Amino acid sequence: MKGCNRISAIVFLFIFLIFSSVLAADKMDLSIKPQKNNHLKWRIGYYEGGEFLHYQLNFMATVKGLMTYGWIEPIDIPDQKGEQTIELWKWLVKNVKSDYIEFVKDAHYTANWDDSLIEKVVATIINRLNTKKDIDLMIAAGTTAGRGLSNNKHHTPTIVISSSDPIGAGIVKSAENSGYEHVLARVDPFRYERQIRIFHEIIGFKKLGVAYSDTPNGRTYAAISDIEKISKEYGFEIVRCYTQDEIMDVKVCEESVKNCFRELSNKTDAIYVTAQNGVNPNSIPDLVDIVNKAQIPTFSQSSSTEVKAGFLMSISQATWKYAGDFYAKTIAKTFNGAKIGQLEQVFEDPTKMTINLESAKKISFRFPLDILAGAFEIYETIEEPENQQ
Amino acid sequence: MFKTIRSKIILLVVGLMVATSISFIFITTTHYQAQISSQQYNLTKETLASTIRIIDNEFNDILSYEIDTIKNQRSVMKNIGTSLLSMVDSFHDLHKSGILTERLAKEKCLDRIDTYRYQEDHYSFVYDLGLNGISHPNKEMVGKKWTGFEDLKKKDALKLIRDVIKNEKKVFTVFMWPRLEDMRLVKHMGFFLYFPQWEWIIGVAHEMVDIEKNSLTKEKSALVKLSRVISQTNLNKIGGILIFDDNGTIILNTSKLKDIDFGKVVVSIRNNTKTQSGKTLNNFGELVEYRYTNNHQKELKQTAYAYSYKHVNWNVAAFFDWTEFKKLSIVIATRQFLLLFLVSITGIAVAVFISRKIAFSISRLAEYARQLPTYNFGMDQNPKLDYITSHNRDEDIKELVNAFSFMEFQLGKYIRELESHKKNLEELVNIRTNELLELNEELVIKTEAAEAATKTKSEFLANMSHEIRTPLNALLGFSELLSIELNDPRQKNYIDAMKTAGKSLLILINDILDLSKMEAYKMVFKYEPVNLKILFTEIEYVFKDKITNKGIRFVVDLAEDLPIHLILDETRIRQILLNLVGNAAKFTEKGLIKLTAQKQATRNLDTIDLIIKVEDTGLGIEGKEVNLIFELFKQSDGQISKKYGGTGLGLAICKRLTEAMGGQISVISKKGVGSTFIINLKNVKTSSDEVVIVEEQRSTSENGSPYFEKKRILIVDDNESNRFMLKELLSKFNQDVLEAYNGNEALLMVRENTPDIIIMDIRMPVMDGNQATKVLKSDPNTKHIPIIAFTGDMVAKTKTGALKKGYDGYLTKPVKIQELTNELSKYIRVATPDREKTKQD
Repeated sequence: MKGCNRISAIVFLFIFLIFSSVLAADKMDLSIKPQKNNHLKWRIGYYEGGEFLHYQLNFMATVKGLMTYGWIEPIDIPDQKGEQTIELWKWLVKNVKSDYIEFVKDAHYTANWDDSLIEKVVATIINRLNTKKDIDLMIAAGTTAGRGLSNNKHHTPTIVISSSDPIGAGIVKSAENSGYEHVLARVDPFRYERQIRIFHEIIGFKKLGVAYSDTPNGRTYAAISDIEKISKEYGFEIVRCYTQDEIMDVKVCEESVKNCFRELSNKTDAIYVTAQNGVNPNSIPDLVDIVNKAQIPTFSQSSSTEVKAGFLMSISQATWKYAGDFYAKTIAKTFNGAKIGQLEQVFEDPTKMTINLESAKKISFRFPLDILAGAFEIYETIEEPENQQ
Repeated sequence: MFKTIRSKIILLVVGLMVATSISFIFITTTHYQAQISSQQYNLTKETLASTIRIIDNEFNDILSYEIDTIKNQRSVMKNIGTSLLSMVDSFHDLHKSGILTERLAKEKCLDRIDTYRYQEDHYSFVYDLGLNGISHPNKEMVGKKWTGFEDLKKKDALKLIRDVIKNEKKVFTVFMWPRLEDMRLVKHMGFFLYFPQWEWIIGVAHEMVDIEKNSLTKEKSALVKLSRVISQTNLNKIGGILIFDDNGTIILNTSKLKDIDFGKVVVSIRNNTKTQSGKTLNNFGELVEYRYTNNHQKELKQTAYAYSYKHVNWNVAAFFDWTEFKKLSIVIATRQFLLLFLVSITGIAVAVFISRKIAFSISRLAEYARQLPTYNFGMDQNPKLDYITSHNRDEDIKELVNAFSFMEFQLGKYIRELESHKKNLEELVNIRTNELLELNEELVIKTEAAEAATKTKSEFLANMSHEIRTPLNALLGFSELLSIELNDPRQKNYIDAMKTAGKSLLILINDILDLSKMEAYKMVFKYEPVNLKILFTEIEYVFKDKITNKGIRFVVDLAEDLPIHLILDETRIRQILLNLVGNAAKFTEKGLIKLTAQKQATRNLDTIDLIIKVEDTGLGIEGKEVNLIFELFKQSDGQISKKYGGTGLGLAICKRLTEAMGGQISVISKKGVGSTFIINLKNVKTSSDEVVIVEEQRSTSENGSPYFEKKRILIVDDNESNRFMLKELLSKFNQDVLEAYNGNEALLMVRENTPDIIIMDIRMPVMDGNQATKVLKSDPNTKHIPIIAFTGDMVAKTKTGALKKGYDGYLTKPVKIQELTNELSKYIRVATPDREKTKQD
């Protein structure tokens, strides 16, 4: 009896350990080493709701991540024009050398922000995934694309990149569980909360202006729910201004953002600059001019690139790199046999403060010495914005 | 009061000063407050704006200082880190090249790092990806897990660095790190580099306390400077600048006001600031007005301009207190008033001084003028004038003095000339006086002689008139009587001839007497209403027989618009017309004689110019004789042969009478055709009185005489013939007649036989008619008796004169029956013969 008990204990322990290791090995410890797909290359497809710079940058960072982890031979990707990804795709198709990965030539899909096309494109993709079965992994760029492919109409592994709030958008169920075995979306559930908190701690505003498109997507991009949550916590007022977003005519989007900035400059003591089509390298100089003249501190939701262009601060720098790295690892793990829906979705941006001193002087804002000393990146001047990776 | 120039000047200046002062005070009072309030607002705004500019400058200085300090420090740390990394890499190269083993290379490298100091107490350290301390000056730190060094977010700083350093290669952070001297955890800024070959994280740290301390010093220095600058603003006297944070803590206060709780001021400003966003529209800030109670529980009103530096948690307010402001306003107003008062006093003093000078000169001049009459007017200037000019330098006064001097000189000159003339004149006067006296004596003599002559002439004329008329009266009177008595045609012719001769003589005498009177200017005209129609009819009647006999047509033409009655001397008009018509009748053999009357122009409603014409178709007058025809004794040539007779006095008398009545007489004549005599009388008055035509109630007796009621008539005349003639006439009129031959007898007769009427001659011996009339009129018993003057004296007496002497009527010698009846009819009723007979019965 004693012996049986002992053995049982060991077995249980062993099983426990196995399971533990299995459990432990669930999301983080899977291999990311390049593997072929049964001697074939893994075929990757791409779908975006429309052109957006973040999609381009995230995708490029993902490709670079794959390079880092050996799935693609390192190669310099040329600077891209505009916000498009089709030209990038074509270049990748033509130039990338890899034994393991193939960017399928005709597997780049975009709905061009045309609501009437989205359904049709999604249907086309799903049909292809189900019938042709010539794509091993879909990269869904953005919330629109994520919504389109996050369903059980197909079963092709899909990684949703560059979606600001996949949980809020209904792409995934939660941070822990995407809800689909074949779908994963990177979530950083507290990312915007962190931003707002830090912004408030530094500035101490009483009225925060937010310009965003009053659509489900727009509210998601602007993390309105997070802002509202933090506003109750800190006791500040949200002043909203609605813009045009996700439409073909970018100029209209840009003008709508400018108008909102003018309006918010008179009503608020800080503006949270959210990601949208109207905030782009073309419009940022005017936006910066508006807020600096009104001596309004700004926080860029998107990136330090915008801080370099003149917004006062941000806490993300080169987000794309980290995200790309995460996406590349996720893809690698998937190609190594992991069920993508079971992989880790949460990936937090490191807190790295970026500030623009010229803007600080213009608005007579005195950064705390701690912030000055510990800023990850300090831009001393306002520079012309460019597409940065 | 205020009658002198001096007083007027002073009054004027005082008035001007008062008016100016009142106006100034009124204007400043009404506008001053508004303006100075506005200025105060502006001053406050400007002060705030200046303060903001200064704060901006200082803030920018602080900002720049902090940024530069941090930048420099980061740069230094970067350089240090890079140098260290390079050094590590060198040692790695040594290992790679085989010179050193990896372990030895690491050891040597770490030794180097341990001893490296880039500043006193500033060192570098190394740890690995396992957070194990590899290099640290404090050996106790080496080999330990470097965890728990928190960053500002209370997160493990080194761990975070580790997580990102592989990608980022270099990272800055602020974290708590042990100070070398006492290993106390203090805030450091750190710079980290990654050496992937050995998986080392190399760190360089710098204490923040120095930077923070310097920054604070800078801030305080800025505050001091700010305080120094803005403390000098004038606003501090009635308000000031307040700088406070959001908690109400006052950072800076420049106000010099006492008894004010500035904490309450800050609260009031915060509570009344509308802008909640912490922004203001411009550098002038937001206007805030509020009340609060001071330390003495007195409610005060204050105004502030507030600006908020939200990024630095500063609020700046420039404020002023209205109570203090008003005090200042009063001080300024008082100052201005005093200044005005001083200016006014000065002005008045100057006016008094100047007016005094002017008055002095004027009074001296007045004194000089008063004394001028006593001056001897020598050739030298009056010393008084010298005195005035010596005491007054005004050009105006000098000019006045010069004028007086000139006047004095001229006066002296004229006076001397006058005196000279006076002497001459006196001599002349004496001479002339003597001559005049002599002349005067001669004149007196001549005058007396002339008067005597005139008197003689008048007496002569009076006597002549009386002497001639008296017998004529008898002659004509008896002729009349005879004419009535006689029935024999031949005897009647003789009597008629006698009457005609007598009348001619009477006319001649009358003419001569009239001429004499006119020459002696003793012709008196009696103006009364005259009916020209009746007069013309009468004239026609007089010449009817003669004209009819000649077969001449007599035309009377009176203008229709001619007034019925005109104020004329009927007697004289008649006389003229009788002359002219008589001449016309005399010198016209055929054709017509026309008598016209018209008015020429109406000057006014009461007067007219009367034109009477006597036209004939007679002989006419030779052209050269027309002007001579009106001279005395001048007749037409044809008449010289005495064919037509005449004395040559008629036209002369007509001319003199017409001219005496203010008119003119002229003639238009052509020889052989005829003549037109034109009488033009100016300004003849019209009359509304009716000339009562005394209808001749010819109640004639059987023998054709008027039949009066029987009365007793007393005739008083010294001439028997006259008495007789009258008696006879009166008898014909059925009157009882009494006679007296002088006034005295008349009185006796009246007492004895009271007559009903008395006909009284005037010139009588013993007692003349005037005396007797006087007596009778003074006696109550006889004064009622009508007394008719009966005289041929046409020189001294007129009817009016007679009436004045008490007579009731007037008859001239020789008496005409008609005149006698007319006169009597005034006092005796005309009776019918039957009636009278009845009465007598």
